[in-house]
Amino acid sequence: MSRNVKVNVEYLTRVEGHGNIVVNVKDGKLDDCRLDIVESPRFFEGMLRGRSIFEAQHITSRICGICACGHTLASIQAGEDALGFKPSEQTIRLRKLLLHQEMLDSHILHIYLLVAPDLLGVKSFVPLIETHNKVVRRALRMKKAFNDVCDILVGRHVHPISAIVGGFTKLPKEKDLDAMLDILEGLRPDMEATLELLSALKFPEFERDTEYVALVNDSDEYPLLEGDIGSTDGLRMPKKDYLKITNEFVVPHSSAKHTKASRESYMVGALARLNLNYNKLHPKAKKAAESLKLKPVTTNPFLNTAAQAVECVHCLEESISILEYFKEKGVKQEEAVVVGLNEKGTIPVRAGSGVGAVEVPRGILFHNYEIDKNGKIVNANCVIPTGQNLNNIEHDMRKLVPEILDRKDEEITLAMEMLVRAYDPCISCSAHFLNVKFINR
Amino acid sequence: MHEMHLMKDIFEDLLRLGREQNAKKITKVYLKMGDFTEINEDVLKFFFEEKGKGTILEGARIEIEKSPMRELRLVSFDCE
Repeated sequence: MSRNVKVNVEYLTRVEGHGNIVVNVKDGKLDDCRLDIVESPRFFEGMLRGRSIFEAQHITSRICGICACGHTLASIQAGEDALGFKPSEQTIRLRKLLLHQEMLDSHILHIYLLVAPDLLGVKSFVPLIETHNKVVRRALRMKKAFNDVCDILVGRHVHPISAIVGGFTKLPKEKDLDAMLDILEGLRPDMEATLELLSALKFPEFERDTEYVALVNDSDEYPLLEGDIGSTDGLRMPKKDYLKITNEFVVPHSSAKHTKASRESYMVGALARLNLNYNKLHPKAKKAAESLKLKPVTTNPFLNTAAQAVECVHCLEESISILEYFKEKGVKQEEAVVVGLNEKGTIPVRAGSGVGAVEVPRGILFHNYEIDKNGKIVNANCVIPTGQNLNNIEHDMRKLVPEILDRKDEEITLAMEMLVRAYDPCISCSAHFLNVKFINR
Repeated sequence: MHEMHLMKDIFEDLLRLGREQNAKKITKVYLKMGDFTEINEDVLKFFFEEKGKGTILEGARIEIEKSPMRELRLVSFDCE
């Protein structure tokens, strides 16, 4: 006889990409707890092989629609490192401006659309349109603004077109500087309101000390685009040694590789950066950190979202400073350079290997290319922040679950989801593939 | 790139749930699918048709209710 069985399971969640949280409890004790990553591998490293180093950034930008600028910048940095090309001071400053826009855009997306619903007790941001209309409008207004600045600066809202190995194909004119400055200065009240919203929200209490990894430097600048790799366990090394930090390994339940450095796992991202470089934050951002009760070293991963808000203040103020600098000194238009695939030999080419290490919204991102004497990519490796965080998330889950095991299933589920979400994971980016070697075949 | 695993998850969950119900056959699957799910209806049906061969899901009809949200929900299934 036919019968109907009710299931009612929702398959789409509020993280980028696809992962499963598995909690197995036997006789009241935690037996197994893991984050399954079942997203298909993307094969981007394979796609890069045989392509010109001068088009790499346009390909890797497509790894992610959120971190498109970050991948572009890491790609360009790796390419220039391999070629031995030194970008101009102006180029570096403009690249920092670009990176700030992405940081702002992505953090705002995460804070408002992915985390706020949890803290306001609703399933997604959609119900907030009714109950918190002003907040939703503010979030979308801010996102649009940062995308618009990106469009003015690099010719596209998402995948930058004018940022290339060698510099920029097109540089902002006076009117462009004015437009960007106008947009960003206009966002200061929204940023204040964002901080207010965050200080009113209550984050779950949970502590687990871990190793925090981020870029570090010897200057006064909060390092995002350039620096050495550093950790709160005292590691410090040049970016070319990134493999000594990541130590990638494969686990059966994840199509994204796991990483570890000094201990069983490490964390990257806004909280890691804040823990390592707190003193270098813009004074306004430091004030924001104080108001959100964040100080180094903060070991509650849920507060990664608060750290993102602090970085938003920092990036907004730094962006305005960069634009004011260019308003005063002017942009040297003669530095604009069109390279294409370097058909005209504009940039000298040599065989070599190069590493790009850039702080993107979710943490430190590595691109590593090996090129031949014609500038063709022979080998590529990309280590994505979410991949680096997966192992740390699992260790957090293993500590968190026993602490809340007496609660109802739904409460545990929500706590775990919120924990994973706090890391702002981008799973579709972190699933990349490993070479398969056949033995005795 | 996300849809493959979503469909596989639903498929495998159905096999498991069917087994739990001691079902000999799942005849109809009720899904709710939003406009922004990035999943193509035809691809989903083809996936079930092909993957279902030789399982309790063979020949199961897929009933899809449209929803305005970004959701993909396995509502229920009919089994014998």
